[in-house]
Amino acid sequence: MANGILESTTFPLTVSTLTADIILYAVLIIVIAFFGILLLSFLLTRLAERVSTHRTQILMVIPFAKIVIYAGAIFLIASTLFKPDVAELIAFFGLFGAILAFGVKDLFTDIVGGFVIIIEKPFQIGDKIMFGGYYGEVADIGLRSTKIITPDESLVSVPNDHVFSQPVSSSNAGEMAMPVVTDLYIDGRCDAEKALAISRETAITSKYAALGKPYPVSVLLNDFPFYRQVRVKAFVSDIRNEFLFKSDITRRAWDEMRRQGIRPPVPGMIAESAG
Amino acid sequence: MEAAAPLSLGDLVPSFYTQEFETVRTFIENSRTRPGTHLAVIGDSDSGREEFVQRIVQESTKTVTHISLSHPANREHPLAVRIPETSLLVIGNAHYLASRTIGGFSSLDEFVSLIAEQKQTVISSWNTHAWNYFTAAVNLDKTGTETVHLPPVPGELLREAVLSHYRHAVTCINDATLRESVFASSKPRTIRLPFTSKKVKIPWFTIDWNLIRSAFKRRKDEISPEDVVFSRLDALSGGNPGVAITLWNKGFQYPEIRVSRIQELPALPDLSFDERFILVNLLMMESLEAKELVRVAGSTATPQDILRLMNEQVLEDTEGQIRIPPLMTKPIAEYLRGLRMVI
Repeated sequence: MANGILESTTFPLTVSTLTADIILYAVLIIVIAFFGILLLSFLLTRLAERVSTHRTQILMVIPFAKIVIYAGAIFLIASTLFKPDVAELIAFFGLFGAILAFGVKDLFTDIVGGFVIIIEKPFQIGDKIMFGGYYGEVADIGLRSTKIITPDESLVSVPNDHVFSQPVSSSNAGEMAMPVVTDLYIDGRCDAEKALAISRETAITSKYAALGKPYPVSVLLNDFPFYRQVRVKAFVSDIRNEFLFKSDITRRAWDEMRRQGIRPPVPGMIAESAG
Repeated sequence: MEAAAPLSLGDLVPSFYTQEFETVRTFIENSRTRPGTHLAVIGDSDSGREEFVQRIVQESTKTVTHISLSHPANREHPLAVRIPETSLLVIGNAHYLASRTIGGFSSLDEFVSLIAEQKQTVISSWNTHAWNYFTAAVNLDKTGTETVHLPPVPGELLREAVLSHYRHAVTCINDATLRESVFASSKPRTIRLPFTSKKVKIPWFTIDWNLIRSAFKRRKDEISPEDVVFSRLDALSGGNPGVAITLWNKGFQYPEIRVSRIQELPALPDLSFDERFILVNLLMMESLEAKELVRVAGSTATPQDILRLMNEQVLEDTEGQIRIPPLMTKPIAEYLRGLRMVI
């Protein structure tokens, strides 16, 4: 150990003497990597907000950049500490991986899940997803967990290993526009044709709507024993306006329906019919 | 001096759209044997669309009824599109037949019924953005309509038409130094500082790639001042002849035009969602009175928003009509298309 050479029958690794310089170097690398990731995430997020037309594409770069920076930092520290040749490096990472796999199994599966999310892309940063039982916009894909901002602005961290065991749904799959379904319930005796026409007109005139070839508007009618459901499916031009779009359709459609004598279902009538 | 009179889009339109004129003439000719058809002339704001239609009316030998709409229809003020039958009905600014509001499509529905009856030959003219919107929203293109799109005017054609307007030679002077910028121009742009709500102005550069490309294509001494002038006009107008002529008229002092006097493209400020929707409506309708804008855009169009957009030179008020300045139409349309707010 005195001359800095550690002999081993299995893995003869060359280990540097742990000097203050090396420790300082390792700490510096970690700090640079940490702040580098913070700075890069901040800059890319700001850029994505400014260039809103390519928001999701820009945000997609962040998880990749994180992996590259972390891997680079680990490599730099490991190569300074151990000065390995290629065979030693493979052996070291093999052993390191095995320790991780057995010792920190959950963390390891989370990290593997993170890799799967980044490579397979079931969703991307900026998507509206349902993941691990939570619905919201993906704010960040980390190595261990995915952060989601829910409709009530809560930040939820969902462990990445959920990607192996639970279904994931993405409403927009990397696109900026997404379909939004709004249900309106009307009295079963009202003019359904008129309600459908109003609902359609509400969707196509909404300021939040995306129209054109890839963004069709459809209006469906479902008949139930005591009421009718008018289902409006239209695309919102920016996923962030999903709930504003829904609210806009509901408010304006009901204003017009009331004006034209279309009423909501009456609970009393349902009870009376049932009785 | 006759030659010093400002250029008029109406005078130049026939030379810009010769092929489109032929298509319309053929349509009118065919309508003698097959009456009741509909032709839609579709063009951008300031593209010379209404002047084009006016020419068609002037040269038509048929009995023509020409209506040019100037205010948008809505539920309270529907437009009567049924008029005494003549062999040719021409409706200018037909995008005013509807507005993007609930109940704002009744006049358009009536117009579609009119063309479906096939009793009368109809030519109508539409703003491109409005036509695209009505096509997506109410399938206006599925009404058996023949369409003529007025294309961007090539730079060479614009140059030829403009220069042939003057009896004496026009002198082009390239007085813009590289620093002042033929290739790149700068305008202050407001940005918000990170972590604070403080706004600062920074210089924002716009690069004229066409000029840079042309600089690489030929030797520098081969680029004539005339090339620079018309290249700049072409780049700024995007082939829209109305915009190019506006720029020309502003910069031209008979008998010379200086590159430095050709107005540069103003930078687009940060816009709120409501401000964008105001611009969407104005892109489609081209010009509206303030009260019409409020009616169409609803609670989105507050007087404060309209005033701010005017101060930022994104809107202008011409004799009570609010509109997007010609030079701003193209960048605004591209910006809103990127946000999927226009088609």
